[in-house]
Amino acid sequence: MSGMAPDPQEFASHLERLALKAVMLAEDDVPALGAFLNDLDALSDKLASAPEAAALVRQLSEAGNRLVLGEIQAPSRAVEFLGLGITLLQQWIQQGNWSQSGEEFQNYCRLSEELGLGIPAAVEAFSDPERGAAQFLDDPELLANFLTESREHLEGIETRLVYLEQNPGELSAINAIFRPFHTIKGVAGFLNLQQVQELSHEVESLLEEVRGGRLEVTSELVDAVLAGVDLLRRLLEEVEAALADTRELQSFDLAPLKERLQALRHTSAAPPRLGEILVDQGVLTPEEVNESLKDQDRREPHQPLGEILVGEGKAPAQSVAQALVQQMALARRGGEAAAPATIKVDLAKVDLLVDLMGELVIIQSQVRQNPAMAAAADQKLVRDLGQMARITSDLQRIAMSLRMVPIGATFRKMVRLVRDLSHKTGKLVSLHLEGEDTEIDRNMVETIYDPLVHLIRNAVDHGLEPPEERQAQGKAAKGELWLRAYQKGGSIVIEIEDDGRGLNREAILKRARERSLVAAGESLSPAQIDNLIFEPGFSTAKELTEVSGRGVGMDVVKQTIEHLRGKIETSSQPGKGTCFTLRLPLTLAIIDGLVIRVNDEHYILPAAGVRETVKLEARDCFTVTGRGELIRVRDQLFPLVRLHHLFGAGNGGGSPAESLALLVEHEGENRALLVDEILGKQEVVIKSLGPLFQSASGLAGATILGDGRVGLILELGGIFHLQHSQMLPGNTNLQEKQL
Amino acid sequence: MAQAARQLDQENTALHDKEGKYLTFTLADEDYGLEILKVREIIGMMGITAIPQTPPYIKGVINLRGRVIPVIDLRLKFGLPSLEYGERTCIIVVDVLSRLGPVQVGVVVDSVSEVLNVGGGDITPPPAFGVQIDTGYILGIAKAKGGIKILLDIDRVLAAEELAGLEKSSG
Amino acid sequence: MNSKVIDFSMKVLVVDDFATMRKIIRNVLKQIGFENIAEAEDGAAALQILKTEQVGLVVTDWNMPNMSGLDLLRNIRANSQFAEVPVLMVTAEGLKENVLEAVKAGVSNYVVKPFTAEVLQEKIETIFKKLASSG
Repeated sequence: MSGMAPDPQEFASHLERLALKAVMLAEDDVPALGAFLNDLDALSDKLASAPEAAALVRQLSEAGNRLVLGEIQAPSRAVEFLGLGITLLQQWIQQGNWSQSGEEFQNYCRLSEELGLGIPAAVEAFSDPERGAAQFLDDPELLANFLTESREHLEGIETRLVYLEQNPGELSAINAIFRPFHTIKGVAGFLNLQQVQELSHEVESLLEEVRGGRLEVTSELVDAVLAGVDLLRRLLEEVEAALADTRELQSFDLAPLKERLQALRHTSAAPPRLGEILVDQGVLTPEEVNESLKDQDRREPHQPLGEILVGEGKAPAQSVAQALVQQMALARRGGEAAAPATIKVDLAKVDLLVDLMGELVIIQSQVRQNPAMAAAADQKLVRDLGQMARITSDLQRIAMSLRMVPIGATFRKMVRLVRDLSHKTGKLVSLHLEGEDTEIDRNMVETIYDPLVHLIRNAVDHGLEPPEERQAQGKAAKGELWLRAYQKGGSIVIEIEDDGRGLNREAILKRARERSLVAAGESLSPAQIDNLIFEPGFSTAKELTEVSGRGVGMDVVKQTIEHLRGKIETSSQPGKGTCFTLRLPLTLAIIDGLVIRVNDEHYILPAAGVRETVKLEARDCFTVTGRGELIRVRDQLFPLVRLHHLFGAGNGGGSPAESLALLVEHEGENRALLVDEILGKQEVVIKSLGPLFQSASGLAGATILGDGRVGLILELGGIFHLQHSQMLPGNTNLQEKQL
Repeated sequence: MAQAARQLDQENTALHDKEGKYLTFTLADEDYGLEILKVREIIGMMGITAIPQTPPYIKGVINLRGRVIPVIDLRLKFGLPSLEYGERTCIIVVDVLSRLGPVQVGVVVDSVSEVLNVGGGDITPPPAFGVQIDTGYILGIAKAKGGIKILLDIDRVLAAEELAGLEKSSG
Repeated sequence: MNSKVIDFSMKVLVVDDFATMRKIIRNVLKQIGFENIAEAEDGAAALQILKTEQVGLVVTDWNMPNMSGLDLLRNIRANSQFAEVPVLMVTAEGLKENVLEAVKAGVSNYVVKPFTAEVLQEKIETIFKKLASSG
């Protein structure tokens, strides 16, 4: 009643048009209703300064909307209501008021109450699925089409999800994931596939929140949607099976997943309210907060809750202030997490940066260790150098982190793999992912993918037993498979563990003997037997089943891991399960190395493999025919490796006595490495020898030494292997040399 | 007859494609040329780190401003007698297309002469015999400044199968 | 059945990216009595058909890649050649805002999945009854 429309003349004619439309309105005339609602919208835009009239227009819009949506039981009453509303508005524009006691207003209020306006009617979650559905069920071709098409639509979802996880803001990506669920839901309704409809509805609703920007893309969300895809596929499989056997559809337990999806939907992005924080902190009880909130509603003008609480002495000003700070921090954090500012950088640049950072770290440590520096007793110089060292090491850490990515994306690809494998093999598997946030060098991620796939194939194919066999042994029909990642010391550890039958040591030993990997009569510890599976040529083509048969043996897995300077081990308990443990270095770029001299060449030996340094004495050196040279250290014998021979680095045929040896260990094998001098220990940046020397055995790469020359980095596994092959009969040349 | 003429024509066209600038160098008293587009840089002899278990013509690797690149002795590669490296010995760094992608390789030569403009008309196909090296490595023979230069196809010299062989012997 | 208001010989264009859905709608339309049914799998294809053929009714899905049903509707209403063609929007429940948007953009009627032949017929009859009474 207070305030007027900007231009009464124009407003009146607008209303007149509306009134005309209202008279012609019919409840089932959608285009007319649409035009009416459009006009109403235009009207409300002009009513910003007239709250009463605006409220009335809002009510009319609401009624119109619900009429369109078919939510009103008595549509003719709603049409009447709309007409009355327009009449009231006309009164208002003519008289500046509408008569509170007039018949129109009374009728209007009665209808408003009758139509239940203001209380939005709950959307019916599902329209009656019975109606109209059955007529399509007897069309198997249509159903078959639906199954194929739905699967196609679900196909790309995993990759899109992974992409979305990395680009959370991309609306088109969300839409591309949203659409299949939406479409499947729609069609499933026709086909009376209630569970399919119900589940896709649930996933769709969750994604709708993401689409609306109310929910963030998190890995839990991605997991839940993936679980939705999985379950949906299972439902579709069931439909297919039921169709083939012409039987009733079995129903699945959707409740757990639905709960999970709903829980996610309710993780609101809004920061907690001030009252909630204060209740959490025990400053106030919920009742006190509610009371003050009611009080706040009554106050004119509006007063912030904090002020009311302090004013009434309910909470100390300090607590309120702290709660406000916390609220702000939470709100900010939410915002930051929603859209982290990122730029895209060429990976080659990052690689170069990491490389150069490594060089910088090394050169600065060389500068600091330079004797001239030690001699210059300048306190400031020493301090500055210390500061520089700290900054460089910070820089290096950051540079490294640029290349680190969570392993989760790789893990999640295994979800699909396991599902498919379980389908193919008829084994039931529940896969548990742990430590998905563990970060790993991006360059490593790609390399470990194939080994992981292989190990998981093996676990499902060979490790886990079929359900009947498991039950016969008193195990749950469903096998457990864990995929874990965590950081331990300077390594990333990845474990693949199953609760299956464990490695069959008898069979392994038998096979190893057949292939002369183990000499007859040689006795091995259980752990040694288990590790035989990594020997080259252990697995045979005959053995490979459809599932794990890709012509890749465990030896290739092992080589790949070793190429990353990692280790792989297995431990197994018969009947209880097998665990494969991969230990990978945190980064590919830098290692701790021991610089050694062999004749004129300098080599770097990864410090991790070096146990100790020993000075040899004549009485501890032996030559055993067929087994080469041995040295004795504290009553233990170690085969002696002469790099001089292996690498042809000049002559080195002298007696090992009086010279230095390094006791080195690689995968439980010990050797003594004869060296001329140990020049020191330092961090070195590993550089590739380039594509030409990819397979140079015994070398892990190269580095630039302090004098600018290239130093070769040794790889113990390869060196042991080289020596082993040179020991074989037939290599007479070397044997002669050695004897 | 006409066919033979056409074939000759084609050969001429092919040879014309080879005209351009060549970096010339000497190797055991013979003059050679390398397409200048293949040449990255020329550096003096520097410390080479030998790689064990490789054929003799693979001298090892050098540090080229922080990058590790392999070095090949062209004399040894062509089966010529080796020569002690001296002041005039150079390493020509070339871009080679290997089976595994583009690689930089250092090539040790006796000495580097000059950059020469070679016209298409000056190039003749490699003779079937008469030179010390495998004709498969030769793009053509150029007549220039009263002498002849053997134009090398450096990609072929360091060709894939050779490099593969190197991998094999090293592994 | 008041079949007099509907001319069953007219061409009905079904637009949906999901082939199964197109088939379902086609089946329902056949049950109602339509014989001349064309299909398009997206908005662009639908507009192409509208440009070259005489279409009496468009039945389009709401949710489609590239061009949504709403965008298609707007494109239809904006093109003088076929601005008047009745458009029936097929939508899934739970998307009220969408329906209202479509209604305001000039949709002739809408139907919520899943629907029966009777419901679809009723909606189509309503459309043509209105057209007959207003024109």
